[in-house]
Amino acid sequence: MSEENKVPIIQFRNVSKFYPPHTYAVRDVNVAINSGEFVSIVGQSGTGKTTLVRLIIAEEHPTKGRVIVGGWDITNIRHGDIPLLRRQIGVVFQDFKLLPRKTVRENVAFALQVAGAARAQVREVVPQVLAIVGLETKMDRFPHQLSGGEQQRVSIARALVHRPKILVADEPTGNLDSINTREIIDLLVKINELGTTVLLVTHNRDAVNSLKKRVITLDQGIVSSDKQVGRYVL
Amino acid sequence: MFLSLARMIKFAVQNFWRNVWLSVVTVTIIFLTLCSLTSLILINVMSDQALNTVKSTLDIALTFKPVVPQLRVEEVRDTLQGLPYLSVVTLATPEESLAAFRAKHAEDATVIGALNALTENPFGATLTLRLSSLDYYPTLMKRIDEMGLSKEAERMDTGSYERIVARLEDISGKVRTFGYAVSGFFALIAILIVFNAIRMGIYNHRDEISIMRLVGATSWFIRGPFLIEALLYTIISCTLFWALMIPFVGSFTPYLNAFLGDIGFDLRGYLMTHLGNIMGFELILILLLTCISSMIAMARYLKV
Ligand SMILES: Nc1ncnc2c1ncn2[C@@H]1O[C@H](COP(=O)(O)OP(=O)(O)OP(=O)(O)O)[C@@H](O)[C@H]1O
Ligand SMILES: [Mg+2]
Repeated sequence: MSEENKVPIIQFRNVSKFYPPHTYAVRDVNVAINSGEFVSIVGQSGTGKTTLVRLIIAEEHPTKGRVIVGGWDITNIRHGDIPLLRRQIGVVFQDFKLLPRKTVRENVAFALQVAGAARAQVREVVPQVLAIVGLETKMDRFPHQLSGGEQQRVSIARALVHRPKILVADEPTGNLDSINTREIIDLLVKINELGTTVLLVTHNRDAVNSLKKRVITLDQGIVSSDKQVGRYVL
Repeated sequence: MFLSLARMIKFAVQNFWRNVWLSVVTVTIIFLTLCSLTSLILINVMSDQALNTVKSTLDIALTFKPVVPQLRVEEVRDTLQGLPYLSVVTLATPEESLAAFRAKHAEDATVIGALNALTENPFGATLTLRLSSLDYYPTLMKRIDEMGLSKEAERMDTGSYERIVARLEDISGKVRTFGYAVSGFFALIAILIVFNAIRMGIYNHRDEISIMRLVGATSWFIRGPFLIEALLYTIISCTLFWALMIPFVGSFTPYLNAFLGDIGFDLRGYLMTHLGNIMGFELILILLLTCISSMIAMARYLKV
């Protein structure tokens, strides 16, 4: 993390999300994440980690407080602007969300096509992002012909097609064994080193401890610790 | 823009094939809706035509009392012949009237017997009038009154004319009501079926849709394919319908003409001259129907 990159790219200002009748998914969260950072978010199940992710991509709106992404206050984002926001944030989930009847190449291309990208752009970008995740030789396989780790790499490649400034990964290694987990974490570090801000939600103690990067710990919706070089402590 | 449209169309066609049986059922139901709608339109036109035919070929018979002298009858005939709106005027003498009556009831022994029992011819002369248009009916009646004919002659067929017209109007009214009911029924089924087809499409594409939302596809891009699918159903059913309907009407018309007799309605000719209007009207109607039901399905099942 270099010194000149200290502009917050994600800001939670006093954010609470309340689900009636009596659940606070997150409560009074104040977090600023700078451009270029690699931040791990840890915490027990049901402590609001996914809720933070959903707030960043405007799938949920805060009950209180403000969410600012890339200087854009998305607290009350207009419905029609959500696609614009989503093209600036790559998202990866535990369950890959690949289309089983499309090849690797088609799965990645799909994200560009549905956003209205020109054919030439699709032809250019798809091999590039697949090279970043190291799958350039397996472009014509179907998801079921890939290992879990490879499938997750496809989904990371897809998240990168719009050249997002932010990559959010919600438990990307939850379905993977330790070797594949290692590879995915290394890949995320590599993507971070290429300049993308990475937000990693994880339960993986070893991964977090080996990263030696910033760790935000949630406890029942509240930020209980936020350390620049953190460890996985619950 | 065009690229997006092409992609949406591809998506819609894909959806159409993925549930091909549901698509077939949907197209069939829209097809049946078109059948009943077109029948309704044609039956409407035909019954109007039939009514007009009955109205315009109505003969009015003036039967004079036997005491009215032949000269007076001829005078009346000459006056009436001078009227521009009477197309045919024939005169039957009392003898001819009697002969006509005998011929008509030749089979009926009682009537003939009663007739034979009479010593004098009970019939007077009969003037048969044919109006060029039924609109002149009141004018003619007024004229007949002015000539003082009400005392000398009996006007026939008025009652029967009114009865025939009333009868026809009644029948065609019932046919129309039935037609509206059937068309409405099919339209309702079509709405439900299209709704269901779109709902299934949304369900089958739920993974694609959630990914599309995630990677920033606009909501019109996500909805577009389902509207295009509705359009597809409409276009396919209408094309299929007219491709079958036109030859069918062509081969059916001779039989219809034989059946209708002197009503003389040229179904094929009518259809050909009004094809554009009927097609356009039905296309718009079906389009409205399918688009509305797919929009309802989207509002209900496609949260974007
Ligand atoms: N749509 C919702 N309606 C009601 N409550 C919800 C909703 N979404 C989440 N919650 C609640 O909010 C809390 C936080 O949920 P969240 O999914 O953010 O947890 P998490 O930290 O991601 O958990 P996990 O590690 O199991 O994924 C939970 O108690 C959950 O039950
Ligand atoms: Mg979660």
